[in-house]
Amino acid sequence: MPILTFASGSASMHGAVVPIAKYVADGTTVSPSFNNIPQGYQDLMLVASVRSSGNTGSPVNLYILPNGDSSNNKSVTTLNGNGSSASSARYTTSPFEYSANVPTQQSAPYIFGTSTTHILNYTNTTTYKTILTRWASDFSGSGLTGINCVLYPYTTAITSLTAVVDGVVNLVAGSTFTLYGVRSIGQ
Amino acid sequence: MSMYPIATLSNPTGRIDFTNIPQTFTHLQMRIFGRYSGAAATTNMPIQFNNDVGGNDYYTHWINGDGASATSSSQGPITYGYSFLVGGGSTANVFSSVIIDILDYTNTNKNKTMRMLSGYDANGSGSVRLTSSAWFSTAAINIFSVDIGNYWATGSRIDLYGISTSNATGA
Repeated sequence: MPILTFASGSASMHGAVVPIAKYVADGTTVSPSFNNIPQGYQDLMLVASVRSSGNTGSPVNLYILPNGDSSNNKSVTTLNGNGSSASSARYTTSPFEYSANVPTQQSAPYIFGTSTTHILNYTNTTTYKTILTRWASDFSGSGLTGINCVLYPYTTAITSLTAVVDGVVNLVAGSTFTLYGVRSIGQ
Repeated sequence: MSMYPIATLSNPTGRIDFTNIPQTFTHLQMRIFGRYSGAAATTNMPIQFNNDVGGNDYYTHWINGDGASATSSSQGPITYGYSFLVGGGSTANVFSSVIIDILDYTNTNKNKTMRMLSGYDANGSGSVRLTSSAWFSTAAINIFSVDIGNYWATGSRIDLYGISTSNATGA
């Protein structure tokens, strides 16, 4: 059974970066979600260590869906390096918020992709949201590292985050997502 | 490692000076959600320390992805380090996110280097960028300034944090 743990204790125990919840995959879950995200922080930070159970290629994309919204209106600008060259791409009219590249079962064992996603001003209701991610996967001889900027083109506050990988397959057991809130003055 | 809020500013106006920065942290982090209200689609966001505004003491290197190609360039010496913001010439309601880390800001034996992650996407245009800006001074940083003049769009905000480390482990 996957483990979804919500943090206990007061925010003051943790400085500005407060753990909200952690998800640990057991290999049976396709798309873990953090729902009812507290609206009392300034920013959110989502830290992921993920491997896909798919066999369709390696690596594959990891996506994050704010508010469960899979309509085709997201846009992402990427910059990545593969060990020999750097490149950039943009994906528009996407149903998902492209977050990172992660290994699959075609990759060597024990390799997980990592990413840290920053969602600034996530409760704001007057601006679109601009989401930054720094990510990496290294397969010993090949690999990718990059940064992404995603536009979530809505002024609604973000109250949930859902993760899914290409092919909508299970996450390998041991994949983790940890959600943090970043407090500002007075929060 | 623990991060603590030092200051926050909603809807900034004019040149922003964070003064009397506590000298008790190990690192600083600034998080900006901002937009330039001028007509340009993007603008540089100058950063200066300790009111060093006239000396050519700053150098900047960056790698940028604009959705089609990856490019890298540098500038310096000039009178400021910088990241960038999306501006009024771009899609309405689109803001930049910028995260700036300044390590060892109180050390008096090192020049200071900022590491910046920044970007915006306007559904058909946009950039994501990694930047380093060096301030060639060994002085401890006690004033942190961001200056795009009177061009902060409504909805912009700046948060400054201090990051502490364990004396025992450095973590």
